[in-house]
Amino acid sequence: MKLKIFISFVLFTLFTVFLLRYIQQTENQAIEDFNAHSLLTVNATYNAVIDTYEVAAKKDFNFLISNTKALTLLHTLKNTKDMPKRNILRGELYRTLYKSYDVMKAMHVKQFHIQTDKGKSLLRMHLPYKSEDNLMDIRKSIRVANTEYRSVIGFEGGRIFSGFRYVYPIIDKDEHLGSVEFSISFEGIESKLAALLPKYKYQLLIVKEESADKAFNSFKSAYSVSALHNNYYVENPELSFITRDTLTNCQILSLSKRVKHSPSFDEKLAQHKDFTVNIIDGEKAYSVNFINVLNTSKVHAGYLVYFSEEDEIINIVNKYNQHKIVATLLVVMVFVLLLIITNQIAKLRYAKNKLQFINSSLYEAQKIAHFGSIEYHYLENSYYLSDEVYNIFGVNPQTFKPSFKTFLLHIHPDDVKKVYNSYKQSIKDKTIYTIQHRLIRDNGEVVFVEEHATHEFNEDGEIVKSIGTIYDITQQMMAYKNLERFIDLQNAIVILTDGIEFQFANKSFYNFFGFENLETFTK
Amino acid sequence: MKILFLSILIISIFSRTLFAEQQKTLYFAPLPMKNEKKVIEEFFPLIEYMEKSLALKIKFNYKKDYNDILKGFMDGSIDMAYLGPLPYVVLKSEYSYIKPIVFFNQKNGTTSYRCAISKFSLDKFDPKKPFKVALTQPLSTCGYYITHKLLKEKFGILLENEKYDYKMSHTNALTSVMREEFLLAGSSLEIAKKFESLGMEVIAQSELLPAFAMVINTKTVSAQEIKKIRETLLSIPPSNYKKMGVRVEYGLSPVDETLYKSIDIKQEIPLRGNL
Repeated sequence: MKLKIFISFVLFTLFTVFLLRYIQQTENQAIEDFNAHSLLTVNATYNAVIDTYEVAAKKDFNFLISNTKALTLLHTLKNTKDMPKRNILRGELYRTLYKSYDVMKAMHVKQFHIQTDKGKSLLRMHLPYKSEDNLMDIRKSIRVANTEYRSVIGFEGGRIFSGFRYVYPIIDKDEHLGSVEFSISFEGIESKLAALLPKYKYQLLIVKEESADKAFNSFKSAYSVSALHNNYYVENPELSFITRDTLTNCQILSLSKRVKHSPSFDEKLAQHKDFTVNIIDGEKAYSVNFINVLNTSKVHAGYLVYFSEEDEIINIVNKYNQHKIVATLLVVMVFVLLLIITNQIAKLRYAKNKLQFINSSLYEAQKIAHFGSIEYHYLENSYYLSDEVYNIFGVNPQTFKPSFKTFLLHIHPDDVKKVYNSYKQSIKDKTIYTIQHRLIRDNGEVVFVEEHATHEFNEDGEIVKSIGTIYDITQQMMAYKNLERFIDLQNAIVILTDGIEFQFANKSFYNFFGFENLETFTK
Repeated sequence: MKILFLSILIISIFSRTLFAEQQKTLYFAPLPMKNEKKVIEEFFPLIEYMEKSLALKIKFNYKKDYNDILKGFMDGSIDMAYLGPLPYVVLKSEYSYIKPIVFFNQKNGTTSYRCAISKFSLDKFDPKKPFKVALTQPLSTCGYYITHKLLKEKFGILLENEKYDYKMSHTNALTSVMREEFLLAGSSLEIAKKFESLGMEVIAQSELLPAFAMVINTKTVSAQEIKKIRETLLSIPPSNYKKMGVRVEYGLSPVDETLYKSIDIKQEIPLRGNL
């Protein structure tokens, strides 16, 4: 029993563990679905912002290529090698375009930069005195625009800052004049995202190759290693107005540390795919989401990271915690119920075995002692006969239908009246019924039996049950007859009495007193 | 027991002193320019280097103009500042506890520089006609002080009779000429030369002036610390100059305070433009 309970306990424990794991998996799935939805929303918004800037950049580009004075200056610049003359032409170009640049700046266009057809910087509107440096090797977007004459859009590191680039080749009257680049700083993207999805705090992680590696020496300090991972850089929070708030925010710093040390974070980061890390801190939950940012070659350039406090995750966690508690309680209850049922079954089995043993013993006892037991239920009109009753009656238990009538049919005709009267009288008097009589078995054999019966009555005095025993006393009767004959052969007078009545007297007694038998003597 | 107690006390006091030394924070005011981010960027590598070398915490305390820097020195919220010759002399006259400790060399490696007046090559400058002048800051050496002097000496023009305004930085002053907002700009010669790539030309330049200096507040920084800071700055290997940002690009030199004698602060400087 103890082993069974132990095995049951182990099985239930295993079941509970699997059930809790299943609930945990479902909970994780619910959180993943929530994260996926969040990633999808921000990703869509981020792409919409990038696309909006692309439309704006296209508009700015169209303005440039429809500006006759600017195009004339670009044609002239292309054919002017003398540096002082080029400088003046550059100044004129600046004066032609600075008002447009003012409008662009208000739209977060950080750089408006024109390059020569050879990929050299011609005019940086954002840093106008810095020009003529070669960008062909360092800026793929500019190389593509000036060698393949196609526009390039995407994230790219630069001499001064990393940003989202929209680079277009300038071709006028079938002459390639160079290229123009509109760059949006992360500040611009971040401000738009913050306006559309204000619940998040944003950060841009950039790979070293697209940040510190490309910057002018004097601009390298504009980047610092990210608190999230040493392989990624952020705009230096000591310098940057945009990252300063996010990177010096205590909560973000604390979250960044926890994210950095979260399980499999490095592996996820190395996959260059969108992912989320959830941090649960007591009654608060945070999501730190990473959106993969591609460079102009469609290669991983960093991650757009956004932090948020998510009540929904706490709701999910609480909901599934309740499920876990309910499931555990149910399993425990089922286990306890099962223990109770098992215990009851064991008790019943024990009682049944005991009963079987008693029945078997009784059967054997009845068989040995030649007595049987009979129960008669009046209301159901049903009989219960022990096996020995069938033996005493000499009937087949399979075919014999016990009833008052069939019993009477087996009573010796000379004893029927006596038995019937005696039985009825005992019911009437509510006394114990005792009688000796003869039975005629189906094979004609006559046997002597002694019956004892008692009756149960309900509250109204009506009989409900008779319980009796029947003894096969044939052998005793035979022995008695033999004894009678033996005593009768003696010359002495022999009487047997219980002190009140005569039980027996031999023939010598009757002969001596002139009686035929005991009956005539007692009359 | 007494010895143990005393030892713990001494160690504790000593550790606290050491700790205090390590934790001391100096506040540095960079050049007051309009673009805070840019100016901090320019000084960031140098400050980072000083922090590492001196085991000190140095924080930027950006001020919008020289008047705020003067107030900062006086109230003790500024320990160090990057100052040109005019603001240094003006501040020194009002607050004597400041001391230049190193000069920031010019492009040619010297400890002196020049101011200049520039215009766009295609713009016509007629001294007889009214014109507008873009200036840096009131207390900037190349601002009102030298521009006034140069216009008077080279063209016989009194600046107070012309229109002028402060654009808060040399670059802004020069850029505003490119933006056709002003005809002339007063700036350092070095920055004016950079704008030659946009077709600007220098029409007048000053005599040599003492270079920009790192100025220390002797009331908040101890003599020992000043000595350490000076030695640290002067021992920067020349190969590292370029890594220290544009302001240290050409190296550092010991200060010759006699150079400041050429700065005459009797000239009245208006604190606002007249546009």
